[in-house]
Amino acid sequence: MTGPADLDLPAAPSWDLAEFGPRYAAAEQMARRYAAAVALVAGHPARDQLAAAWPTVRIVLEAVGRSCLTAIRQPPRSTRRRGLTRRQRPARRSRHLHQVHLALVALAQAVDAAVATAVSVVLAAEAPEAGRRAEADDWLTALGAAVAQLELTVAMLTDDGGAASAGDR
Amino acid sequence: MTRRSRTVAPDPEPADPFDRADAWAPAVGFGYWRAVYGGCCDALLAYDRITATMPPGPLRGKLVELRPELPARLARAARLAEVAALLFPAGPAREPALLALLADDPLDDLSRRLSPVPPDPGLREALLTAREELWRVAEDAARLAVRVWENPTATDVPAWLTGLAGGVATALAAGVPGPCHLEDEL
Repeated sequence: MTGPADLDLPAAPSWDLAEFGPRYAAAEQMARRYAAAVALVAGHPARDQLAAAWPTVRIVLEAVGRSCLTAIRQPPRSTRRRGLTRRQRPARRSRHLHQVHLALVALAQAVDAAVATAVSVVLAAEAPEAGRRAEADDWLTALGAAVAQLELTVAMLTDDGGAASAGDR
Repeated sequence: MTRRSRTVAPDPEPADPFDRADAWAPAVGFGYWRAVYGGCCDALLAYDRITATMPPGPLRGKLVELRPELPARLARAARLAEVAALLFPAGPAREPALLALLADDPLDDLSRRLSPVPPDPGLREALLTAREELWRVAEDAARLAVRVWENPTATDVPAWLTGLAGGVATALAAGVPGPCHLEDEL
């Protein structure tokens, strides 16, 4: 596996992230899968489209790391998990956790699309059928939608991170 | 002073890495993909064992003759397994740890937003087909061996061999499952 330096991944937070640690690790693993998919389609036109979304993946990972660092400064979340009424707001730490989870979902969907594109390209190279090429194009379209969702997630994480920092002060 | 002419022996031909089936090379992890690729290697080993235990004769000669065509098929399976291990390190299913983290969301069970199996446009199927085809060839060879042992005076051995050659050719066809089984032809 390629090291973080080779992939230009953001440095992982060096603090103990408590319950956010496995979430950050999962996000980093997904970023690595995305990078593997990009590397696999080298020399194919799909590579440019996959590579174009890599900065967004990297920014999401960075934002998740910042959100985790902000969250662990908040008091631990309540043991009560769900069942809040519409008027009740979850604790700030729980809000961060929810946003990190939303980022993980968006990241997983983008990685799924990128991996499926790479698989279609690999299989199309072995058995060049028109259907396989069309399949790769379909997955690239799905990737475009997933990346748009990722960009929204970045905006959400960034806005809330700023608000949380302001609230801390 | 007489100088002894030294002749340098040519380097031996590099052996085909897939000539000897090794489930650990290439390294494809310890999980599902290695198990499937190990099944491909087992098929080749089974073929070799069948060939080694057959009595000398035209059938054994033909089996030995067909053997060099199988590593190409194993190499393709190895390539597919490597790609699968790289892109789906947790196997064909979604990582259970990720789903557990998302299910632990304070507001909702977010694991439901992801399918339990990540989309795969045919990689697993292609690898399983490759394993099945290799096993088909090994099983056909085993059936022929049993028939020869049971009936050493059989006269229709060439017809059986034609069927086996057809099975090997099918296994070599990239990604296309064989149209028929050797047993169907006999």
